[in-house]
Amino acid sequence: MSKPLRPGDPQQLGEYELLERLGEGGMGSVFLARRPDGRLVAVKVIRPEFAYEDEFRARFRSEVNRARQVPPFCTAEVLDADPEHPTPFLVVEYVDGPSLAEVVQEQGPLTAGNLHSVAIGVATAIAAIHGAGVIHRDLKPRNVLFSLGTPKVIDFGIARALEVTSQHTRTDQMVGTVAYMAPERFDSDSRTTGPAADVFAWGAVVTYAGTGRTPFAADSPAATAARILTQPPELSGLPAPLRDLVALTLAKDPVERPTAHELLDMLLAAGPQETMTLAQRPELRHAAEAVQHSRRHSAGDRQPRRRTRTLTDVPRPRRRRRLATLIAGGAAATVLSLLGMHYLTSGSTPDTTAVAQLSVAPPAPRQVRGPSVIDPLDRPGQWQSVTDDSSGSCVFTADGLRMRTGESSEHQCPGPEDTFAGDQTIAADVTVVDPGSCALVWFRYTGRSGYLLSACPGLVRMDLVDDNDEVTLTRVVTQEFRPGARHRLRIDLRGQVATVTIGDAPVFQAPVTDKSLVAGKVVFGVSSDPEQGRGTVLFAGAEIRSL
Amino acid sequence: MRRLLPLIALAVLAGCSTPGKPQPGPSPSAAAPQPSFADVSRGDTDSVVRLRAYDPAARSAVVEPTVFMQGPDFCTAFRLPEDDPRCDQEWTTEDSHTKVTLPVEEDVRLLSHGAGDPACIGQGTGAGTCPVTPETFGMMLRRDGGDLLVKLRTEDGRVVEMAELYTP
Repeated sequence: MSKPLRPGDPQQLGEYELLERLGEGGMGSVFLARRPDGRLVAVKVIRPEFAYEDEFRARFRSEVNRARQVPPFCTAEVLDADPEHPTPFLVVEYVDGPSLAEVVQEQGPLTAGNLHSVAIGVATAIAAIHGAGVIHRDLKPRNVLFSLGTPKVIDFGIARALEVTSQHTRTDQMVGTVAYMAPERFDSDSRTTGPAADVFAWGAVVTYAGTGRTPFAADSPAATAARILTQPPELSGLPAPLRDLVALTLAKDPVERPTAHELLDMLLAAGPQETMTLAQRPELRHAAEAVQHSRRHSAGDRQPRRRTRTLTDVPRPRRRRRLATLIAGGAAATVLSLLGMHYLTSGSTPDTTAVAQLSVAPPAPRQVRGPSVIDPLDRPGQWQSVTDDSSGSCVFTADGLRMRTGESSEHQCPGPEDTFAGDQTIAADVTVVDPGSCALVWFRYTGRSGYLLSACPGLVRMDLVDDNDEVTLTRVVTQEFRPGARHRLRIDLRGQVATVTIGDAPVFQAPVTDKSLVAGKVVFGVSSDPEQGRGTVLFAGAEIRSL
Repeated sequence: MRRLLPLIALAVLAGCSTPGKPQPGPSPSAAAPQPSFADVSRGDTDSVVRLRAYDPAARSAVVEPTVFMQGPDFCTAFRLPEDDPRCDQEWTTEDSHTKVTLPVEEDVRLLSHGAGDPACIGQGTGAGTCPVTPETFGMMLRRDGGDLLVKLRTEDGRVVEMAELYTP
């Protein structure tokens, strides 16, 4: 709701004619203004007391420059700024629409279609923001505006200029609204807060949009903060598939949360409601697709994650361990008993029962075209060579990419960074060269967790990996996979089932039901039996296709 | 022109930022034709691709097949309504999101449009015609941030010609 200018308000800032007051916050005031070409814009004027601080001006300048790199995908575009003005100001696209907070207050929680539209739109926005190396740090319903029914996120990046200035880091001046703040933001040094805090805020915003309350709501800000730090979120009322995703984003440990791009992948690969939302809102589909496409430029939402597991890594107890155990003991048994096959589970004696027929379901329709990768692996292209790494090597030959273990018994070769979500196929020609070697294929791999297919002579198995914890989902003794011979290894992922084929022979189906592993990278590698020396395998003809 | 390229791409892709009528995708409904992309990994092909990587020493290129059309043709092909904003654009693309690594012939022809020099732009194709070295072509790709629209010619799945596309 706009108000007239107050006495003392400037009527002109640079080339902008100020017309009305749009709002006021901790950083300053926001005005509706007109550019010389007639376009209406929003001008944010920083409080005069900040203007005298050189540190703030420098930070403001830096953050504005980065915010201007954010593509306008579900975000209000940063148009101009003048950090050197006596009262520094920022000019952003004027979004003539209500905020999410106003809509929910006036009309109640959003209906399913609108809720998914907000979920996808805000995820698209934070993926675009993180892709430019910016962290929002103040994502909340008041910063989500509706432009012709489409959500747009405003006020990204600028909060950091205020927060990192030492004079403004007292807890009573912390930037952000408590109900949407991630646990790590309550640390004494909240300046280390990363992009995962925005993902947490996304979960809180979507919960508010879908239920009308925040997930850790309490009587006071202090009580809310305590709930954020210690209690599970209250998510009842959110529709089921979205609720699971929101729960992931509200994990206490920022490392447990998906990145913004992974979140977007999961949303786009979700159920029929998301598909319907995208079909009805093609502008959302285009924006989400464009942000996915620009992922390769993104480094801002990457969390530090190990690329290679080693024997010296200390396993950490994690939630997924319990989930994985449940999967291994429950879902796997269900799937396998339904299939009526003889499989091996961890600790069992190998069984040589052959699998007769496995049917692969048709892929689910998708609105957004996912990535695909095709590489013959006979020269550097989408995979890179590693020749002087003591942990192993990856060398291109005319026969394919030769992978060798080094000092550790396992080695991954660096390849595409694309994230694959939803139904997909992964195929490669694989040759086990040295005895005791296994060809490894990680999929839905996040750098810490994922599914791992190990193809070893005489034995093929699939594990759920979480750091150094491995839970075997399925393993099958098979004579189809022989050392020294080239085999076409293929994984068909459909919904929650992975079908593994060697040549034309189906080997097994395994459940892929971990709700936190809906999307991830595909990685090739090699392992060896330490008693038999180094391991060597050849990979060729890689084809990873989103379906 | 270099500045115009990303701007045009944004106009095509940035649906959320577009006030006014939403832009339908080229295939939002079952009735609309699906784009088909050239299979550049086999046979002889002539197509437009996005060049993602080029390694002269390894003689490899990573390309993304793309549908590249003038605006009105795009709308006709995908049965978009005449008032769709893309119909008025000089050109628009639909990307396959499929990256393919291809071998490059030793004597590959690499062609530039010489920063819009009319003498280096093919009549009717918009493709560059002035030869450049592999090193220069690699620099052109890096200058465009690893995303260069090129007219690609392959023979038996091997790259024999890449011509930078002029997109005014």
